[in-house]
Amino acid sequence: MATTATNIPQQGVFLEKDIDTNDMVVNIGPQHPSTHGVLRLITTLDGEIVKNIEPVIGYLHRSKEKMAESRSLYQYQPTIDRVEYLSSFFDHYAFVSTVEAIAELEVPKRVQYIRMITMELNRITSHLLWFGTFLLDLGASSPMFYAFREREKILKLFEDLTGARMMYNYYRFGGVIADMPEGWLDKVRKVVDEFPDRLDEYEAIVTKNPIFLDRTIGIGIMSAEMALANGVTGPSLRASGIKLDLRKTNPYCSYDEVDFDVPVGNTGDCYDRYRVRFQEMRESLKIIRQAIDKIPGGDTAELNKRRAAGDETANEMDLQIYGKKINLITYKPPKGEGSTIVESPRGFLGCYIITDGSPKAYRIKWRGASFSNLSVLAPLMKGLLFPDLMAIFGSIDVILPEVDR
Amino acid sequence: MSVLDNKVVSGVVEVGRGLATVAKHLFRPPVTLEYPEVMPDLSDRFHGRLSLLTKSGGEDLCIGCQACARVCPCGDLIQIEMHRDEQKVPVIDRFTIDLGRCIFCGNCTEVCPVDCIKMQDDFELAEYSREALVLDKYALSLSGEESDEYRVRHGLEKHVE
Amino acid sequence: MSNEKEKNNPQEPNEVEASLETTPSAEEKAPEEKPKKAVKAKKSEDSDEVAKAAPKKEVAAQTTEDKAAAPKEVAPKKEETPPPPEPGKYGELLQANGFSPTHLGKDAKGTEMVDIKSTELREVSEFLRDNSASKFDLLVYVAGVDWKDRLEVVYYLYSTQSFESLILKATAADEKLPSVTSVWPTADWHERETYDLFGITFEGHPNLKRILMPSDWLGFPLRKDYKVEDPRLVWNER
Ligand code: SF4
Ligand code: SF4
Repeated sequence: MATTATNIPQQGVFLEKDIDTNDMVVNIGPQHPSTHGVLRLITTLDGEIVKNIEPVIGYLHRSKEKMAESRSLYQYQPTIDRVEYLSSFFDHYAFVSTVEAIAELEVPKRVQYIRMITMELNRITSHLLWFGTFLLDLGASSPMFYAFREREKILKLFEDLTGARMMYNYYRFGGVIADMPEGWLDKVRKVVDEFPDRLDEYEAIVTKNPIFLDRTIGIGIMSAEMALANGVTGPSLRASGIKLDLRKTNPYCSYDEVDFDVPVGNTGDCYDRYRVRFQEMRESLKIIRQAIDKIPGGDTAELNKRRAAGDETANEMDLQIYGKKINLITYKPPKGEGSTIVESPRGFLGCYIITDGSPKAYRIKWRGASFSNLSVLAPLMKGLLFPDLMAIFGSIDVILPEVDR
Repeated sequence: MSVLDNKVVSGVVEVGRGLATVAKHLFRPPVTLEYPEVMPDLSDRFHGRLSLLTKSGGEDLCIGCQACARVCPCGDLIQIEMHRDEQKVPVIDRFTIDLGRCIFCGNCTEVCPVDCIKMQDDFELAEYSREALVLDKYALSLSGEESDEYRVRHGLEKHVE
Repeated sequence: MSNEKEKNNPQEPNEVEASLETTPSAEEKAPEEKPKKAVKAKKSEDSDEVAKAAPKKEVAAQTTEDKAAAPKEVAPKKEETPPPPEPGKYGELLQANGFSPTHLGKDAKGTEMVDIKSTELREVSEFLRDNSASKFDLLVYVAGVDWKDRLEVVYYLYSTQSFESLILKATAADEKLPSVTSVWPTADWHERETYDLFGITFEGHPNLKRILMPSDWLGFPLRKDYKVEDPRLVWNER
């Protein structure tokens, strides 16, 4: 039981002294329900204590970076969705904004707000899925159904907006593919308004549940130094007490125009990571609410009415959905290079693009947040108990397609 | 000992609270659908099966410009062969789409200059063989009335004649 | 699936810029030259198409180019000889402390870029991490770039104190670079990835082996001259 786990002195000294045990190597995965994808963990155990753990990755390597060499930027764009399928608006944003910076394309304000709303909604869906599966790892099954129920509502919004539930392919260089459908903002507002109740409901089931507390409090403590040294970013880093959120520190899109807090933890255990993510969902709701109120032009129905009435102000730059309409088939960004990092639900998502004046990128590098977050697992697990492995692994929220790209 | 007492008490209370929340859900209407009988309500922009719209009279709308084939991320899954007749009117000889390799990204629908290739809200595409997923022009084309209806529904009136 | 295709049809290095098609084959090479003279192509379009001898893709290239000719602003800007880049804040800091960086100006997002000698890499890294004026304590990523005549490695650093970033570049002479795992432990996996895809050896790395590709893979996939020579993969060819 996990309660006793916290009482065992680190490194399990007494086990080694008393009993002469051989190390045992346990292979977890590649196909294992708790690894959320295809991950192999070669675990060396001394009794119940993990002596060493070696993650083996690459099973989902789909050569995303190589694919960019044979496709024009526009052709390449749909495949970005597949880099990280739970929050692909962020990948698209990183890609599109880098190209926009290289080509110096202007992005209208309305587009920036649409992007901000979709990204924050996407953050919620991603955290919800994490919430469901994390508790499933700990043995609780009903939270998963609840989380999926709410996620479904947001996915329905995405479907109305982009036509797809997960592979959106919605952002374009300097704009978005199409304006919001009429009445979409009201639907968003409805979902956002009823969401806090749902979050309270989850908290009622989970946050103070003694079994959950025993399995998370004090388990898998990640110090801030360890997190930074291993390149851990995002909620997992903030749970360790470092207040680092790119939306606040290096605002992109229009994040500097909305007001929100950055939740931080203090100990860096699994429970803190849970709490930080939970709090982040509430902050995202805050951002969305402000963005709906502030979006230039308001709902599309209103804007269309103004345009139909011949209102010239309804056609100004900031209300368009394209800064400059470019021909996507032959689009050639100028020569240059740029690197963007954005705050994805899992941490720093980086996209580094070198263009050479041809329709293709010379080089595209993806920095998946999960890639670095997963690499902390080995140092973190050293000397901890084997039954906590899945709780800890689940709490750092790794998504394997992003690790392997 | 009192710590344990507290823990037990709070534990029972918290588990009870959780169970009460779960029990509340018994009285909520279900959110799931009985799928084959009840179809989901899909949006207008849904990325489903590809199809070719035709003119109101049923003639080909496609001008064979190959734009869709060029922007497709999956290589040569759209294949078009065309020639021009004496009046330089494009005639499409062959138009096939391999839906088995399509990732339903919508790139092709975005660039089509005459709004010919479009996506329907049909997502039940299972077939018994891979070959059956390679659709030719006749399988892809909608009739004139269907095309008109699609155009009206999606506000693409510019090609209605 | 596209993965396999890429292994089968590796691109010739000099085709890379020109080709727009996914799978370059002999007949598709012709239209690749076309975009450069889009306007001219417009005139000759009809005769070409009637001739019909032209491969079908060529017709496509012209007609779409025709369409493309209208929004002319997409044409790439001609490059003037750029003025030598201004030394940035961190470049000057490095220079003042006895290193010899080359200033590369800023990237599109305004991040300073500095090229450093590969021999100095580890010292520079340590200096940048520990110096109170820079404090780059987070290595965001390590990216390899194949410039055909040389291999370059890009380090993206971020400071959690000043919230600024810096791009370090180092050329891997003889495909070798000193490892920075002792400075930032996170470099472990990132360097393994760069080794895996570019074949750059990081000296001093504790466990330099393939990470994304299978351990018995031949060649380094992200190099521009990469071709699949593995005989075990011939079944892929369809
Ligand atoms: S939807 Fe995408 S993958 Fe499918 S045919 Fe169109 S461009 Fe190609
Ligand atoms: S883009 Fe439209 S008109 Fe051109 S070939 Fe494709 S379907 Fe036909």
